[in-house]
Amino acid sequence: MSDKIPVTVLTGYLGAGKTTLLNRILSEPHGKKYAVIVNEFGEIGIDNDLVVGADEEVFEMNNGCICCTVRGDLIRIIDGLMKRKGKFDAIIVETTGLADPAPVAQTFFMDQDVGDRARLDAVVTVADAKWLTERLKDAPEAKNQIAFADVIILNKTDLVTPAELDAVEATIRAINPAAKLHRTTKCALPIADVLDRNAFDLDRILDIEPDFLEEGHHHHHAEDIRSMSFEIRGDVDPDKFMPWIQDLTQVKGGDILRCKGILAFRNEPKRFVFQGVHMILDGDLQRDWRADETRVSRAVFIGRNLDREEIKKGFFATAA
Amino acid sequence: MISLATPASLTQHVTPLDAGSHVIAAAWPGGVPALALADGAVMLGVPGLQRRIDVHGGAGLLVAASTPGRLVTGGGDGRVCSLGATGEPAEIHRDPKGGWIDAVAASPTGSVAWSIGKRVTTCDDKGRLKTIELSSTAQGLAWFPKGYRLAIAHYNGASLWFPNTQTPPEFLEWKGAHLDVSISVDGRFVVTSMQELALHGWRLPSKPTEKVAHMRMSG
Repeated sequence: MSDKIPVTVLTGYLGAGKTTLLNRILSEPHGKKYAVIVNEFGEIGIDNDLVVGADEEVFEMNNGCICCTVRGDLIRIIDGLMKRKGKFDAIIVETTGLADPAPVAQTFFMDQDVGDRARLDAVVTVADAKWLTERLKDAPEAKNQIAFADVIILNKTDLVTPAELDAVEATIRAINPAAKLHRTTKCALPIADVLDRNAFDLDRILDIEPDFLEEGHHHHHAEDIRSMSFEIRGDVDPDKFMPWIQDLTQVKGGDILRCKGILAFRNEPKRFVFQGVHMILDGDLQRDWRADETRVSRAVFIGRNLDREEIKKGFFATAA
Repeated sequence: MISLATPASLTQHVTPLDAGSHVIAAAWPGGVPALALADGAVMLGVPGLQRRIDVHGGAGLLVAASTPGRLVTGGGDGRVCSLGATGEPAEIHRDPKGGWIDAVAASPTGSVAWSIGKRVTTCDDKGRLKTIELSSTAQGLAWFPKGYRLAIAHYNGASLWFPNTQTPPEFLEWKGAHLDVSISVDGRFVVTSMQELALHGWRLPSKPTEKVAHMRMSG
């Protein structure tokens, strides 16, 4: 792909196991060098020139829009690291347990210098199997982190019963059905499941699992953050869809954490793929629809206080 | 001697140089060409007779500022160094925790300033250190012409600080993230560059009855 440096964002509430995962990534013999941006020095047991402390400073742009917030310290640090390109293969950003992943992700789309040289690979969230359910009730940050994730590591599975584990996984799925989920103890999993995921690469959004579209996933009405997915069996009209999605993300962008979709445009042999973070939208035509594929149009929205009926109505109105 | 009859092109005098690393700054300490390099070294001397002087080692050289007499560098090793025409690096300061030096400024009067995160430190020509802690990260530093007052760009504005007095810094407020700062040669204007594509300027009062005036330059 490009020669942009991949950046993995590691989130997770306090005590979930982020540092364990980070130490595991750094100590395994994979032959790669990582620059690591941490929020606290000293927790990492690895001696590395390229461990940098960050202060998690969030910059709000003058217009005060939530979707334009970026991490000022990340811009500065990535700028400094990029001048030493060649010394490392990838960057890992560890956030504090209380961090909101949105400004971190947005930094890679909003700051041109950073976006030109680095690409967001994936947001990886470590969740504590025993305590996550409690945290989701009292910590909005924990919920944001789950909702935002491309990869969820459900850790400390040895501390709960199988039934409890299934329950916590169901809770996670209600908030975020689209992420890859791994059950672990002590964050033991292949590093390839965490790094180099290309989650923000449109070419890698291969499918939106039909499984996510089942109504059964929407019974957790207590959650203020939830996901919703819709399917049109057939084509959509790009002249209707484009204005609708742009308007939706402009108006509700503050509440929409992530969105994704694979669409069949009328008279278009290629699949149209889009993904977004709050108000930032990215979309392009991808590969051809295969002969053995049914042309369906699917979209997933994860967000807070979203009106399911309204979005459903809007999406279905774009059908060709 | 250049003949006036046939105007010489500037390009005839250009010598390309392969610095071998990202060039952070170019300067002429004591009239000698110097390139501050991201790999931690300074390349000093005229083309063909250059020396590489390792200043910050593998931790990298992050920021640099210069005066007619010297090149001041800040590194990922938490050190601030000064280098003159002789090429002998002198350590001005070493941060005990080895934090990245985020910004550095040098005044022809001999004052040097640097920052690590929210902490800004100055060192005058007699080696006296003064430190101030800001509420947000110092992004850019610039000395006023006389080298007594320092401008600091940070989140939501800039601060003007006299390190040798007890007076708290004067705060110039403007919402948004200010990344770097420069001062006009007469010391009357402070201009910052911002995260959103804009410059913001302040005209400082020249007499007590005047107020600070703003300049907005968006692009």
